[in-house]
Amino acid sequence: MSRNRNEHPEWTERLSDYVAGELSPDSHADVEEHLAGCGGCRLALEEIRIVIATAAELGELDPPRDLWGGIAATIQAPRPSVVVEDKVIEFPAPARTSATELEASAPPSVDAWRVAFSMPQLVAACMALVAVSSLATWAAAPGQRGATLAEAPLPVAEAVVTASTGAPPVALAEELELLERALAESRGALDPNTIRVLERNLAVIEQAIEESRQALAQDPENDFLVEHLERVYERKLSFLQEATRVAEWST
Amino acid sequence: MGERVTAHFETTDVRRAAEGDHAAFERLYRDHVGRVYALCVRMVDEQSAEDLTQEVFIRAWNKLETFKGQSQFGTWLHRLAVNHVLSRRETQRKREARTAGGEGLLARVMAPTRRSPGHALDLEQAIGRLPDRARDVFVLYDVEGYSHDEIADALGVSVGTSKSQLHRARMLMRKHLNA
Repeated sequence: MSRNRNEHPEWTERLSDYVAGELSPDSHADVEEHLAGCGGCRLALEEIRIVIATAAELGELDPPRDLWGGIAATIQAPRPSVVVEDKVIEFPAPARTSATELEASAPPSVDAWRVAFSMPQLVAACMALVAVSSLATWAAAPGQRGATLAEAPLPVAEAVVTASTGAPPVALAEELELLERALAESRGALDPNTIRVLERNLAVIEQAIEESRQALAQDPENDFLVEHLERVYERKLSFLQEATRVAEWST
Repeated sequence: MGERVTAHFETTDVRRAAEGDHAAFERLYRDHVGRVYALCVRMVDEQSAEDLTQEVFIRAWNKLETFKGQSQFGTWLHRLAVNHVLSRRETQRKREARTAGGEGLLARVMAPTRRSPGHALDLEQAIGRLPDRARDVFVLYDVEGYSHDEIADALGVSVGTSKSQLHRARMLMRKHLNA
C-alpha cells in the first residue's frame, strides 16, 4: 500500500481527527497546509482512508458450521428437579434462569418440570446426572470442542459442586485425577522451567480452590461462592488439559 | 418483501420467541447470526467466536422479555453481543492476571495463529493482529459504526482514549497491510 515512508508523526497523529472533521478550524487549516507540501503525509492520509473505507464495507460472516444445534439443545432442555421429602432440589435451568423469568414465560411452568422420585429413582437420577456431567466435561475439552460444542448444550449452569463440602462431582474429580496422573507420568519429558511454571500456576489454582471451599463451608447457601468454586474447578480442568497436551507434544 | 413487512414478521417472531416459541427464535437466529458471528470473530478468534455466538443467542433467549421494542431487535441483539464479548474478554484478562499469565501463556502458545490461512480478506487478518483494546475500538467504530461516546461507555474508558486507540489501530492496520 505504501510507497513513501517520509511522513511526520506529529502530523499523522492528527489524521484520524482530520478525517472525522473533529479538528478546530485553525488546526484543520494547519494540517491541510502541511499535507499540501508533504507527499509522505498525504500518502498516510490516503492509506488511512482506504483502511476506513474497507472496514466499513466488511459484511456479515457465516460461522463455518451451523451453531443452532447447540443453542436449541440448551434452550429446549427441560429443567429437572427432584423432591426429597418436602424439600425441592432444583437444578439450575440452562435457559430462563431467574425465577421471575420462569414465571413470566407461561409454557412450560416450573411446576410442570417438578417431578417426585422414589429413592431408587433418585439413585438412578444421580447416576444419570453424573453421566451428563461427564458428557459436559467431555464436550468442554478444548481439543474436542470444535467437533462437539455446536451440537451439545453449553456446559453452563451445571450444579457441579457439593455446597456442604465444596467437593467436585465424581466425574469431574475422576477427570482431574486422570489428568494429574497423566501429567505426573509425562514429567520426565518436560523442561524443568516448564515444570516450574506449571507447578506454580497449579499451586495458585489449588490455593483458590482451598480458599473457596473454606468460604463455602462457612456460607454453604451462598450461590455466588458455589458458582465461583465451579469456575475455579473448570479452570483447573482446563489448565490440566492444556498442560497434558503440552507434555504430550514434548514426548 | 418490503422492509415494513420484514419488520412486522420480525416483531411477531420476537413476541413469539419471548413466549417460548423455539421456531420463532430459530428464525431470528438465522436472520442475525451472520452479524453476531462477524462481530465475535473480529473481536476474538474463530474458535472462541463460535462459542461466544452461541452464548449470545442463549443470553438473548434468556433476556427476550426485557426487550421492549424501543429499538430494532437487531440493534438490541448486537449491543447484547458487544457487551457479552467485552465482558468475556475482561473475565479472561482477570483470570490470566490471577494465574500470573500461566494459562494465558499456554493458550497463546497453543494457538499459533489467530486465523486460518487463506482467510478471505487481508483486512480481516490484520484486524486479528491488532492489540485487544485497539481491535475493540477499531471493530466497534470503523466496522460497526458505533460512536466514541458509546464505545467509551462500553469499554469503561474516556472518549479521548477511544479516539487514540482508534488512531493507533488504523496506523497499525496500515503497517500490517503494507507488510
